[in-house]
Amino acid sequence: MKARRKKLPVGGIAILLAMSLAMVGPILSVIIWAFAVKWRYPNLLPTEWGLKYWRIMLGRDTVIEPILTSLALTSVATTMAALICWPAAYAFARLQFPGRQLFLFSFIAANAVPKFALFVSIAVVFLNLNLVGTFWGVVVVQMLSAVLFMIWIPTAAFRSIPPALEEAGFDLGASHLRVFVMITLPQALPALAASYVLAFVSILFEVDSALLIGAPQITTMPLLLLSLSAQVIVQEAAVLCVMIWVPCFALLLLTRRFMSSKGIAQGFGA
Amino acid sequence: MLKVQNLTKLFEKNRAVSGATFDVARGELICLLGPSGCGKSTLLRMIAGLALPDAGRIDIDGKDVTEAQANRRPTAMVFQSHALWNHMTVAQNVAFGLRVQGLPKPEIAEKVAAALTLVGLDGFARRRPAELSGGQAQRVALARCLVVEPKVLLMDEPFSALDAHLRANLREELKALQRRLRLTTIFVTHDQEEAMELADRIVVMHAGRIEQIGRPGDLYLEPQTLTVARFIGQMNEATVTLKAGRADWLGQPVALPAPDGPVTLLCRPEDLQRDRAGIDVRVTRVIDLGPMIRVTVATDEGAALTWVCGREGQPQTGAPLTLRPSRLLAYRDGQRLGTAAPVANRIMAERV
Amino acid sequence: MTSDANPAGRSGAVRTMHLKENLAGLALVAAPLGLLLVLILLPTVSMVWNTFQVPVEGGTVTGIARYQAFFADSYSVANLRYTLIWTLISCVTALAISLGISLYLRFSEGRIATMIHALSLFPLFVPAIIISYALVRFLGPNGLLQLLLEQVGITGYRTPYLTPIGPFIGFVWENIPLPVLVITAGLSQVSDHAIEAARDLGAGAWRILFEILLPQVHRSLLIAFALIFLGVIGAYTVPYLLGPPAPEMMGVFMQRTLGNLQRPDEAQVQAVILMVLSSIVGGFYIATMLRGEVGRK
Repeated sequence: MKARRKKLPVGGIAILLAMSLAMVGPILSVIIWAFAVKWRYPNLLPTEWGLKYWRIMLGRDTVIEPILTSLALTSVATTMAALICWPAAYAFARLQFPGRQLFLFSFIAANAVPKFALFVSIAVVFLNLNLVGTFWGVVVVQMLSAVLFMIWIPTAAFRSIPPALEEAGFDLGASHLRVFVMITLPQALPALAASYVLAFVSILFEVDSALLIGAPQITTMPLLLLSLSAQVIVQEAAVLCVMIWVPCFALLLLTRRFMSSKGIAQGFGA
Repeated sequence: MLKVQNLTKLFEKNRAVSGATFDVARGELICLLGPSGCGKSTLLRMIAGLALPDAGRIDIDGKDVTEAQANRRPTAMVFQSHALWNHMTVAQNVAFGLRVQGLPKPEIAEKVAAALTLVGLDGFARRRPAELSGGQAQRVALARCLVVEPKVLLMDEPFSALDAHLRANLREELKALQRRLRLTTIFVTHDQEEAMELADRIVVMHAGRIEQIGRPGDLYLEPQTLTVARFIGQMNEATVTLKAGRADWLGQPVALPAPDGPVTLLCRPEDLQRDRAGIDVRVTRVIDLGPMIRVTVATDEGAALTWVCGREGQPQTGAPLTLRPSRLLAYRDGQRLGTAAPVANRIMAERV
Repeated sequence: MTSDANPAGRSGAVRTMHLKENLAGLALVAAPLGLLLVLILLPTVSMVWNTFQVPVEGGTVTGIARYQAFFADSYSVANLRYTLIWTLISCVTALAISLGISLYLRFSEGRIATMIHALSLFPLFVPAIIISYALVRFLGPNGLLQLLLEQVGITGYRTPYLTPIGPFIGFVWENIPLPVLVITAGLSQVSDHAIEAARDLGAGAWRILFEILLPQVHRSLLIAFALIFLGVIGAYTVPYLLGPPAPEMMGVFMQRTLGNLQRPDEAQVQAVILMVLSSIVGGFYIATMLRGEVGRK
């Protein structure tokens, strides 16, 4: 292979630069804005840095409240989804029952429905049930979003545990429940936690459900962000973005170790 | 101790195990031997309670356990994949069965330590399974079973993932331990050497059926079915026609008191001897196995035979030889018919 | 004991065990399945039913008047056309860029390739609302991109913000990771030897691409296309923040009709039309996956 002699990978460096600009540039500009006090055209960087707008934002009830609402909504929805999905995932992975393939498939097929149009239909039904603008109305719809994450990844996780591990415990006298708690659950826990975090973050930032089902009574963090992004003072939205997204990003990076890229792709049926 | 009667398991209408019946005495080590897919593992799993039989009956210590689930049977199983729980330490793995029984903590600790000593793993208690070698992992798996003092120990090809040298060592240790503790053991393997070395008795299985049960030596010398004869050791095989109690086996006249008809005659390589009154062959290949020499020869008609001989008198490729079978096993319809004896070749005798 | 009487039949214990397993399995999957049923099937069916109910004096009759109204309104039709066209353009562009990146990754190694791979998966961790806002700040007038360009002496930057190009960039940005994931997985199945063998036989780069590499990822590409299409066609946040005030993408249009104008009947018609259009791609997505499932058995 003479052609592959050591030479400067010009093409690679060009792609890398272009992608860095495209991928990191937008996020970088938000981060800079969050810590800028004065940044006027045509300066490349802010002329005054500081945490001024962080203090302003954190001191406002109209900011703190939506964040707390979002955290409460998302925690309840994700936890409830986990409670109903993880046992189902175990059943899909380990038990034989009529309709198993079809049911499992229906959880992928649900991706084929355009979400926003679906939420419109749910909103109309909820309107008649007086669920629009209520906490539980939003929770139920957010659970639907969570379910799509929390069936496939956990099913794959349970499947990847060798049955012999469970059989060994069963054989030594443990009941089914005990085997599940002492052996199956600890084995699957990293992947289960990963699916929880993935669902949590995606729901936390979901605009659609809050907008169509929750508004105007329920103001969530993404809705606040949406309204702030139209404000003249750029820093407010930027601070909110950095404040909420950076911890989530760190959390996602942590959990990614427990999920293969292939696993994620398979969840979409790809 | 363990009694298995007419045990049958269906897999989508195929019989994975069909009418298996055998007994295991207290302190006996039984090997289930057969090629992969013969149903031996399924049979073991039914004894463990991990699979329920479609028909038949299992008694352990005089108690019917046929329909009891695995956690209610006095059995413990060592898996091929060792199946250690990697989220627990070695000690926690071994303690599991005792914790399930609800024993007090100090007693558990004591028993776990004793079990680890028994398998030669003192000082490994706090390790994680991921830090163990294959052999050590399998010892922990064994300790995990021994500590609950099962009435029957079940082992499903426990050594097959290990390399040959380690396998031989573990086999010897297991045999010594089993003798010392008088463990009633069922050991599944597809390796006949392993079965021969370990077993008090061997149960040979084929296509879901038990072909023969016997001591290792008996199986080798007196295989009751053609399948067993072919499976255990090497054989020279030819099917001939028996007429008036006489037949011709590759040019060697033999006598067999049985009705006329086709008969399959088999001869072990070591049952061929150099004899001037015998079958004329030519050496086609000489393989030096170290302690002995394996020779492949061809008859004038082109049939190939395998013969083993000592290092002295080793023939050259292409050399002519005369071989005489001393003992031939006869089978008809897969079942043993008797033993055929060679008779003097009249023409040869006249020539002499 | 039934065993001795009928050795071929299943014993009572086995039958009971299977029955128990069946019941346990169904019980465990009932809750999420029920949620799916109640929140997808029920509202959709009721919505479709509603849209065919036309109010007349003293009641309603079944008819297509609502749909006729939608298609008679030039603004609605313009929105629909705008949505379809830009959805398609965004999908194709995202796939093309992903394919390029994946092919580059397939034939390179080392630190640069690793970094490119990581960067291409980065959007997976960035929610739509964050990137939409970030793109406003980055691409918008006097944004970071303009500042950077002016630093190197390029002036006369015209922002794509509030033009159809704005949401287009947002959609492409969001939808790079998924196709990169599936295409790199598919391409890694083609061994170097297979490619070298083809090259030995005189195949050129294009022939290798179309006859050896692409067939491997054909199915994955189709599924990625369908998923991106379904995500983009009903998107709200990206076009709301980055797009022009008119024409609107269907997501924005529906939200405004339902939320601001308080006309649920019209919003439902818009949603049904969007669902029908998506169902072509959605049905194709399901069919592709079903074929894959059968193939895997």
